[in-house]
Amino acid sequence: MKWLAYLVLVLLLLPLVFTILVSFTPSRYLELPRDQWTLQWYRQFFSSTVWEQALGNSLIIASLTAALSVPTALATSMALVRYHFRWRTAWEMALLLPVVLPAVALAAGMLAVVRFTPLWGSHLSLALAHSVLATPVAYLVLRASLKQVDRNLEAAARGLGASPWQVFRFVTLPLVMPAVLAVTLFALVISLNEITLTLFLATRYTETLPRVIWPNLRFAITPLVAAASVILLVLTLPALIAAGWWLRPRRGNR
Amino acid sequence: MRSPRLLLAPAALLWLAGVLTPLLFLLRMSLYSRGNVSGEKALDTLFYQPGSWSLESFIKIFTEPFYHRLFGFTALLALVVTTLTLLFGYLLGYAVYRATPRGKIALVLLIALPKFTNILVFVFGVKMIFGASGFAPVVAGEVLLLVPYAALTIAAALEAVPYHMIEAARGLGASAAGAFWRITLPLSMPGVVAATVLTVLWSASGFLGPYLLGQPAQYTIAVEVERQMHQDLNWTLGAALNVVLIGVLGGTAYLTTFLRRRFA
Repeated sequence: MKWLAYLVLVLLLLPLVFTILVSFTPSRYLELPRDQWTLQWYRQFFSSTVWEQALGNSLIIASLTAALSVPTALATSMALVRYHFRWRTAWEMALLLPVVLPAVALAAGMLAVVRFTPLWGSHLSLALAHSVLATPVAYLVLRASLKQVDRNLEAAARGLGASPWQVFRFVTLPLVMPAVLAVTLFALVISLNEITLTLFLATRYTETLPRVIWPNLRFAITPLVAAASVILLVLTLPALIAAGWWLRPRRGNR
Repeated sequence: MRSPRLLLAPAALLWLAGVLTPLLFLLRMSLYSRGNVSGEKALDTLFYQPGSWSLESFIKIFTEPFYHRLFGFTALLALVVTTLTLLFGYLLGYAVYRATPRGKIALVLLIALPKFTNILVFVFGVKMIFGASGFAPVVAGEVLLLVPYAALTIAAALEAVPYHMIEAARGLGASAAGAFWRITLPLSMPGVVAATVLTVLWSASGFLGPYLLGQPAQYTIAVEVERQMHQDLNWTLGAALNVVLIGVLGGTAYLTTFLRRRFA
């Protein structure tokens, strides 16, 4: 049984390995490089204005998403973890709803709303859409982190005359900082990789990297797509490793 | 803080603008009559007839055999994908449960890794491994996209199963398989149920896998939504499909939790 589990794990990781290898192929087709390796597809990527613009759009939208979703999630988790609300479960359910809703339904609804507002075609509209997906994830991580903070430390600070804001700023926030940094990276990664909402909301001027890869995947697949994919991977992988580092279990917590 | 309610304001605003309003627009959109696609039209008359009320989209969905097949295939795909995902997810989750502390961290990171890489990169790789488009690549793609969630959910539930209970059963003469069936599996059921609900919801609304890895015969409701909205410019039908999809999924999720509370 164990070997079957490892087989599934291999299958899970193989697509990534394949994509990385193919991006170095000298062939014009999707073939694994045999004896020759080349960077020509990467050169082609960086010499094309379409791809470069897409990279720029991706980075702008990802930064906006992080700037919108992380403070929102932090404020929400502070409220729901530290205070009692009558409708607390309802709040949480509503907050997590976008995670289980069909992405196309959310996307179609957003398109119907945004299409007729001045937000259509703006980076902000995409960042707002991505924030709808990033905020619940950020909330879950921050909630777990806030629950681990020793309430006595906050009570002690209050007793010594700190205002609620000072308690948050100088006691609570430093203690949950690793989680805040981690969810910032999660938000960046979610936005960089998002495609379904982007497909419905992006215009010619706001196409992200996945949006430019999209038509190529269906019609004209060349190793250039693999190279573009690897560039996305290179953007997100260090973020994931750093987030894992910040969230690692530490002795002395609790 | 003087007013904790104020802390909820940003999330409430985002939710109203980004979740509730789109859903309400979707509902209203599904009740317009179809727009006039021909000729020089303003955008809104192109996509739908402003001010109209009509059930024509729903009637179309419920009467045309094409949509019956679409819903039938989507349900079939969800069933196959959920079964395989749970099976593989349990195997992986169990491997995490039985690993050494260090191995646990490594396994969890490796399982989660594909979820932090671009879904298109992943699908691209699946396409190269499982070949051209068809039913098998669609199933493989969807299963591999969902297995990490199932595995981690089940692993978390298994962590709560005290290992000494299994040892006690073994000590009292149960076989390894017997201990698994009568102790480990029942105690990990909450995780299995949670993973099932999530997998059913996500596989039934699957869009990227069927679209990128399938032939038109493997298209699901979600793919048809995209097609209606982007190619046929039939927003009302796309919206109605979404409303029916959300209704069916919401009903399924509600029924599952209801039955669980009733009988478990």
